[in-house]
Amino acid sequence: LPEPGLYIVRDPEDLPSRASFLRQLSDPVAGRVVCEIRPGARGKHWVAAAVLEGLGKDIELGTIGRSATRMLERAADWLIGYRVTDLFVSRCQIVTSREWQLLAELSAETNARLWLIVQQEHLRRRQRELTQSWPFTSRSWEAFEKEWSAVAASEPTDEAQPSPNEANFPAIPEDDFTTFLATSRRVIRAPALSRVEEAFNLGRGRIAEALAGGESWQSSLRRLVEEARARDEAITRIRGAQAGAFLEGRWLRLDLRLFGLRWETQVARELTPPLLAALAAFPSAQWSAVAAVSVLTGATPAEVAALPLDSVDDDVIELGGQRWSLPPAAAAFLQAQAATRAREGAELADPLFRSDDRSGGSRQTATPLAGRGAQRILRRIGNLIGLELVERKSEPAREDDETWARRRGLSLRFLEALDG
Amino acid sequence: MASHYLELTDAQTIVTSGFALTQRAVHDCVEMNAIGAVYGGAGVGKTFAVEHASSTAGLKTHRLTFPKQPAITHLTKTMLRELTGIEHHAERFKLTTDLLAVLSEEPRLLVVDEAQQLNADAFDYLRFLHDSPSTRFALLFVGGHGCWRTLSRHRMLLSRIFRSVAVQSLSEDEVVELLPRFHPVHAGASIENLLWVNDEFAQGNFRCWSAFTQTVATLCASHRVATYTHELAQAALALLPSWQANVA
Repeated sequence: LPEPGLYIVRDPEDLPSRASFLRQLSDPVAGRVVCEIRPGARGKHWVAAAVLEGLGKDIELGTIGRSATRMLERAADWLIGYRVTDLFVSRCQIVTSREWQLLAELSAETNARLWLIVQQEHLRRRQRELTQSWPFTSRSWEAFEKEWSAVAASEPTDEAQPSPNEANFPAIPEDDFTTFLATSRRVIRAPALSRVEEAFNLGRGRIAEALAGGESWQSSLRRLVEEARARDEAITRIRGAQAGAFLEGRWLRLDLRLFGLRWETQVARELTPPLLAALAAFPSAQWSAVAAVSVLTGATPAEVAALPLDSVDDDVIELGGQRWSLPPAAAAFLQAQAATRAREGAELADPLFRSDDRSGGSRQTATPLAGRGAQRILRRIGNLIGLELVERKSEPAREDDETWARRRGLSLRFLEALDG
Repeated sequence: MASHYLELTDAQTIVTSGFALTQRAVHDCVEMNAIGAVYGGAGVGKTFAVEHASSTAGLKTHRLTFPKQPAITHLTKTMLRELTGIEHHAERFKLTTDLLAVLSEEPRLLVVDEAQQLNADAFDYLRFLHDSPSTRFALLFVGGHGCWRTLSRHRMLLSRIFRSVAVQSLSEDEVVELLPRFHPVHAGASIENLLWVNDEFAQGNFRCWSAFTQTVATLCASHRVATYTHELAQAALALLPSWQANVA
């Protein structure tokens, strides 16, 4: 028989260091979820909320409804989506044996091992009875800590956490291009400085190529800016381009105010770690998955809405004849959504996404998500996380390069023309 | 700055051992965003010491008082009202989420007065808020002797107390040494008179000494004298209720 995977961990000492040890185990992408029952918690709703919180979901974001049963189902779908192997629930003494049973059922449904951490000496009678009727194994805190200490000491693999290299481009000086690099070398330390120099040189090289007769300078700058992951990185690239243009006898002018405004409303085109982290906070798998697919593939809302369930295959999604590899966090969004649809009885040819009309959960009553529905989801997510995830009509994706440059305050003149 | 009991004029802040330890404990807790406890009998000066320490702590301080054995919803709403200045109405889970967000905004010092009135659920709730990795606040429990008894009954809190100070009444030596510096009216008083008042009425209790000082200073002013004699001290005690009760 397989190991039942149900454990009671006794921690009557209840030291702060143990609470932080438990927190270190949390890593949903690596299959470990740590949740804490809030004081005064009672009932299914609170258990579901605790598990969703442990998964990093903000239950105030989006619509998951008020039904405790539905919340618990969502929690189960996410556990399946993240392929969670171990679910740790701290402060289980707060809730009754009925909630313990819910957790045991959740663990059985999702195939995750369940660790109930109890910060008191004695269990209540009903709790004791439950641990006897279910095949729970008892562990002391010391044994538990020994078993998990190597994991707690390891680095979290959660890619949704921005890595310092990718997310935090160094803060740059306010100098214009003439003194930008010199000041940067004075105020920014290695290794951050090398990232600034790299971005600056990239801009200088690209503009030189463009002015030597390659693509238009607007197109070259557009690529430079759109490939940048942070505003400061984009500005550094432009500073380099300004220096490169200057060496070619041109003055590339940048209106920082206009540039800043446009940067804020630029449509996200890359699943960056900060964006993944923001999407991971949504309790609705459908919302996170729609946004991830849209940003990763650049597909229109209608194309995203039309995806069938069988387009998702582990860490790959197929759209428009093309296969896209999903980062693990994004794969979890799609797997969780697939689990939700499977729970509703959807078959492989059925749509991956369904309308949020709450008319019912069965396959027969579920309405497929329409393009406008997907667009509405992307707008609402965008409003909540402060990023544009879908093009607005006034700013079509096909904005030509000249308009793009003008709207961002970029213009190019010959230096000789200034004298005249 | 903290104000003296009965808004006593010309009174100086006296650094007793309890006062000094409280200053240190509060500053350590603020520095580490830790939990502390200051406890002692009524009128020994713990509230004054905590007010003084928090006024120099350099961060937002909120004094919270809860009714006996408060419900968690009440606790949450009271804290949100104190911290944000507005009433919050929502279900408890949402209120707690809001409270966690408010407590994450900036470092704060939360002083819970009459902490002996809290029950296990309330203590656990405060522990939960403090344990949350996003929140940044120091938590100080202030209360009578029952405060420490209650705290020590709850292991989840006891293991998290970083500093605790038991504020005691003044000893006779401290009365003789410190009272002349507390108020000018005691500066010229004889040691015998100080000890007599302490013995008959104040019992080393700062609140009692403040009441006596206020009364005797008024009598001295009406008699145009700088300090009090045994007779004036007797007259002052006659006006103070508990002394009359003792004599009766």
